[in-house]
Amino acid sequence: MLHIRVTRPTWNEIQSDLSRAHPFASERVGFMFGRSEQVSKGQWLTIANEYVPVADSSYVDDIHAGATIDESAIRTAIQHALDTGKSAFHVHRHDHLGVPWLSRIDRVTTREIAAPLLVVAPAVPHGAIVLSRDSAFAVGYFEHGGCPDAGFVSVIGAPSTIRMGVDGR
Amino acid sequence: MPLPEEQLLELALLGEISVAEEGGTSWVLIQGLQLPSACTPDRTDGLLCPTTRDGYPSRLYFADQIRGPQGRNWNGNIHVLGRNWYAISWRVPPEGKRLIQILSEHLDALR
Amino acid sequence: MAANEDSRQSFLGPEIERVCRVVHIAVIGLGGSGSHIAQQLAHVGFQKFLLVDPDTIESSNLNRLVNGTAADLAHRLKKTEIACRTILSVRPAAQVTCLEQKWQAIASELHAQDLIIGCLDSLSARSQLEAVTRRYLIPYIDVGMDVRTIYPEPPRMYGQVAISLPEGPCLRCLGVVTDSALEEESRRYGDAGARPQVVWANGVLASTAVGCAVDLLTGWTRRAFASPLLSYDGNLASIGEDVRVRYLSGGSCPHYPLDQTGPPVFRRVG
Repeated sequence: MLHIRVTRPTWNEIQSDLSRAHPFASERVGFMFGRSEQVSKGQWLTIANEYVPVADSSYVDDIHAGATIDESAIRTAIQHALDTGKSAFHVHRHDHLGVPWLSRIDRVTTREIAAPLLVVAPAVPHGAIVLSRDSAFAVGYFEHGGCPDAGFVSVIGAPSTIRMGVDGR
Repeated sequence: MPLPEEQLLELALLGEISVAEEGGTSWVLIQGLQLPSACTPDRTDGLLCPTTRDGYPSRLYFADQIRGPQGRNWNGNIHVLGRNWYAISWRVPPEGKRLIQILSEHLDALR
Repeated sequence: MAANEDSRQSFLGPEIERVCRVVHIAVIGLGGSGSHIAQQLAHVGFQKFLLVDPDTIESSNLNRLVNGTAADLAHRLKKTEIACRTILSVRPAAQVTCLEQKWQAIASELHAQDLIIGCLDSLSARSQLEAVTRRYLIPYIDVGMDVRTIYPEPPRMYGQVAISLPEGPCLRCLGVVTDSALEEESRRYGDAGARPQVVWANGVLASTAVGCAVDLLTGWTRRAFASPLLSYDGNLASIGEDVRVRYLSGGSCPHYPLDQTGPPVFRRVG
């Protein structure tokens, strides 16, 4: 199980970024980076301390998806994970209330992005975080391969929202 | 405030040196620090804080409590940078001294 | 949580039931304040506890250790056992882990906690504990109390509840931890940290801490920013926002920047 913690100011920054309009993409995406630690058998904790929006110029005009990003954006994320040893999570938002889930396209995209990240920084998990208007869900891939682990997200601040993605929140 | 790089390189003559920050304090980790003779163990990791800490002008922490030639007051048990460390009650004012001199004067507590 | 309990706490909002069920809370120090806090958290409905204290109840604790009894003294119960018994008597289904060691010895166990409440005597220990919570982005509520006597004035009893959140003011920013206070503690108490305490003052501070914790986790007061420092004047029986809060510089805490979070990273030299 994966637990991602992020501060309220960073979370607000992410929400603001994902709310910005793009000339042609209907959704925005970014990458969240953080330091990870295995806290017990099967339990990982990621302390997210950096959010990097994908540049406007890195979106591809694709009618089949809300947002498609080009290879340069992915290469930038991979390079950063290599340079820092941090976990990287692809971030986007579904525009509804309640716990979000990964769509089929999301699952494919996440697997494709996680694969090279695990090559450059194999000791830590990588994956995706999907936000909704009031919740979040995370999924992480690990070096050992196999199915990804589901995860939850805590936003720390005043107030704090603990363990989103657990028990229907 | 970052520590002077050339003084850190001087310390590197003693072993593997790395630096980290926590709580607004800069810390210097000296892995496998050779201790003065008649100490048990004879080598351990050291963590140097060259600025004021817990009422001391500077402090050298050890990964172990060392048995040395003289009995000392080990009153500086702390948890920092993810590990537990131990320190002797020993005052070394750092003003006007290079890091290697501060370290050496702290090691005098074990001589 | 049963339906009739819900009705009494429903004003806390729809989140309270889920929060009580999923949040992992660590109480560090189960003495005068910690024993109160553990009891109150159980009454609110929290279910997942980590209790950390190496000590056994002593006769000098009976004036303030909530639910500590003379029989416990005779049986030399650990403070964690007493708190655990208290919690389970209110919430039999609660998951309570007791670690009868100094928190420094089990520090890695704290990383997975969602909230840590520190009820330690030593200011140095509280500062070190806060550093761990800052690294792992864990909200930290710090509770402290002291009594000072400067002859010929009457004793002055005071305390504080500080809320330390990532990117917010830390105990140093708030002036709770200062180099002079640490030096003075080192001179006055050494390692023992035996500060004077009384049950009613501990109760005020403990109740305040629990109220802050519930607000932090539910946002029921809908305040955008909770006061990070509440000061208690035991002589006047008053508690309120510390005047130092008005003079905070604003901006992120300079002592615990966001890029120093997560497991420590050392930069190799040479």
